[in-house]
Order: sequence, then C-alpha cells, then structure tokens
Amino acid sequence: MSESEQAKFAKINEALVSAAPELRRKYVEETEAWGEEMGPHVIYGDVLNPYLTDLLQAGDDPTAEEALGRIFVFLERMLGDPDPDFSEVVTITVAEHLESDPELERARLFMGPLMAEVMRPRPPRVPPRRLER
Amino acid sequence: MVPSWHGLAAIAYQERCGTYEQAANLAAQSLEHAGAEMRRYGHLYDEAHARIERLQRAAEECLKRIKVAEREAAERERAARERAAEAATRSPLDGGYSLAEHADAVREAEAAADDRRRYEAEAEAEREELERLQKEALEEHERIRQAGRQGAAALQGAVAGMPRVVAPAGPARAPAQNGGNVGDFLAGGINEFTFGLVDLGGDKDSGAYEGGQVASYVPWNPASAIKSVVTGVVKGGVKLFGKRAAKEGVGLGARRADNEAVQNTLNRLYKPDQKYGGGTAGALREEARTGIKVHGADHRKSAEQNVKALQKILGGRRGSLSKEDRYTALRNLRDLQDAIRHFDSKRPGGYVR
Repeated sequence: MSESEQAKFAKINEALVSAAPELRRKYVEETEAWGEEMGPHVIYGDVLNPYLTDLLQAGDDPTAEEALGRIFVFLERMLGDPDPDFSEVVTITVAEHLESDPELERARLFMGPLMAEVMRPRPPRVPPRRLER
Repeated sequence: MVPSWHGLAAIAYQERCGTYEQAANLAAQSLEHAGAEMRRYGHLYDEAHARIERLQRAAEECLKRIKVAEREAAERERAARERAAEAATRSPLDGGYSLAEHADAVREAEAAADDRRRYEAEAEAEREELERLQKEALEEHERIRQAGRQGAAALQGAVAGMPRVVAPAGPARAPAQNGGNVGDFLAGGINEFTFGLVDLGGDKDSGAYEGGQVASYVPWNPASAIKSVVTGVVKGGVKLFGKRAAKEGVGLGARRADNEAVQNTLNRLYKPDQKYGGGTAGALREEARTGIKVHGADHRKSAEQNVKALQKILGGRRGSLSKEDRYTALRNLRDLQDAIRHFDSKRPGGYVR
C-alpha cells in the first residue's frame, strides 16, 4: 500500500475521532491490533457502527442524543466532501449499516439532507425491457 | 449435532444426517459400494488391457511370418530360375551335359514356385488370422467402454446415496453454468487449497470446479474416512458430500464467528436488509453487471480494504481461529478477490473485464 494511501486512510480515520473523541481509544486499540492504519471502511465499520447502534438504542438519553447530533453533523460534512473516498465511507459502510438497524426511524430524526437522501427508500431496480425489432 | 456448526445449517444437517459419525458412516457405506464398482472395473480393465496386448503381439508376429515366408519363397524361385537360364545358355558347349543341369534347375525353380505358392497360401491364412485378431481387439475395446459406463453409473448411484444437507438458500455466489466432471472438481479444490498457486485447468464455470473450491475449505474428521476402502474415491466423495453442507452453511451459520475480528468483518460485509445477495462482493458484482453503483457508491475500495483485513486475520494478526472461522474468512476472502478480479467498476459501462 502506498504512503499516500496510508496518509489518506489516516486523514479519514482521524476525521472521525476528531468529531467523536470518545472513539479515540477504541480507534487506537483497533489500529494497534491490526498493526497498521487500516482503511476507513474497516475502522468506521468496527468503531463507529457499533457506537451508533448503542446510541440509537439509548432512547431519550440526552448524552446519547447530543452525541448522535454531533456524529450526524460530521457524517453530513463527509457526504459533502468533494473527495469520493470520504463520502463513500458514509454511503457504503455507515448507511448500509443503518439501513438494517432496528432504530432506523429514530436515526432519521438526526439526519441532514444529504444523509436523508442517501437513506431514502428506493424502489427495487427494474431492468429495462429490450425493444422488439 | 455437528459440534462446531451453528444455525440452520447445523439443524438441517442433524435432521438429514444425524451425527457427524453417522453421516460419515453413511458416506463410507456408499463409497464402499462405489469403491467395489471401481475395483471391478479396474480388474476388467486390467484383463482387457492384457488381452489386447497379447493380441497386438500376436498380430505383429503374424505380420512378420507373412513377410518372411513371401520373401523366402520369392528368393528361392528367383535363384532356381537363374540357374535354369544359366544351364540353358551353356548347353551347346558342354555336349548335352548341361541339359540335365538345366532340367534340375527348372525342377528346382518349379519346386520353389510351389513353395512360394504354399507360402502365399499361408500368408493368406495369416492375413485372415490378423483380421480376426483386429476384430477381437475392437470387441475388447467395446467391452472396456461398456464396463466403464457401468462403473460410472454405479458410482453415480453410490454418490447419490450419500447424505445431503438441504438448507434454505442463503446469499451465495451465482449458480454455476454447468456440472463439470471429477477433473474439474479436483482442479478447483487444488487451486483453492493452494490459494490459486496451482492451476490444473478445468472448467472454472462448472459446478464441479466450484464444488472443489468450496470443499477444499471443509474441515473433516479423517478418522471415519480412514476406515473406508478406496482412499482416493473416499476423499473425493467426502469432499463432494461436504460441498453442499459447506455451501449452504456459508450463507447461514457462517455469519456467526467466534473470533471477534472475523465477526466484525462479516458485519461489515453483510447487512440483513441488503437487496442484493453476496454482501459487499455481491454489490460489486451487481455494479459490474448493471453499470449502476449500488447505493450510488463504488464498492471496490470497501472490498479491497476488507480483503486486506481478512488477509491479516488469516495471517494470525487478530488471534487464533477455529476451523470454522478460518473457513469463513477464507471463503469471504476468495469471494471478494473473485469479485474484484473479474470486474472493474471504475470503467464506465461494459464493466466486465
């Protein structure tokens, strides 16, 4: 893996722990366990997703709501980033996880417009018909 | 119940096959039958092979005799006629003495001609014998083919008698294009077992090749297999038996892992509400097939990062792995690598490489 790629991984992962400092310890533990900076799809999947699930299950706990608000603002910023490597982590790893979260409707309360668009229910794709000659 | 499996696959396994030992015994019985058929065919083949070798040797000797007999007769006749001609040339000078010599030479030539005709008759008989031997060899070939077909049918029957696990279909790879044969099965298994280092060819689109790949991951208790008769057949059959169980286990019980890192990886790869099968690899294949990004995002980088994580896990970076966890990790690693290798989602349109 190239140094620039490693640096980018670190940048995207660092953005997460800057927005949610309470995840830094877990992030450091994971990085040490893997032995190197892992890709953001791995880190966001292992560090952020379980945390989001815990927060959503916490109900009306104000601390959890504050954290949820802060994290969804951060996710909105990631989705607005012109670099697709930032937005794809949210679109794929975080959004696909939230889609199957039983507290999805509660999560929608905290979503910004970009995240809401990503999470918008879509009809199943119908393949185009072939035209008869 | 199979002690180390979990979920629906293990329950289905228990219903159909009983315990590990019972299933193994059932498989061993079927394979013993198959082994007997294979041995019978082997004996037939050996006997037929020996008979054909004898026929070939006889035919070669026959041809030699024909050639020698014809050559000898022709040589004797030629020599006698030369002597007769020489005696006739010398007769005026020798006052009739050579007439007797000439008459002797002519008689010898006629005798040689008789011999030649006799040899020709013998040669004709040898030719008939040669034709008979050739016909017999053809019939022997046909008998071998028949025995082979009967052996194959018996083997199929024995394999069909082995226990199977039928579990609800989970997200799995696309169905194979065709059945394939034992060679494809072995080629797939060896290729997968060696992490792709050894490629013996084989039809990679066939079900047998895919079965061999999957079966190469199946943990198996060798104690029951040792009891069986034909080791090679048993190993192949047991893997064939394991193929279905393993394949269906992949989509169900294998979603649970003892190792935390493996479980986390499965959580990243598979989502319960996914509208396409196969997790991240399935999404990548869907993008490649349709040219449309699933969820509007390219799954390739996610797949690549998970490949790296799985490689580290299999390398022992995240603690020890049970056989099942290792199988799960390997299966998913292969699935992701396959999706990445075959499709290039960076190319707009026409995604298939």
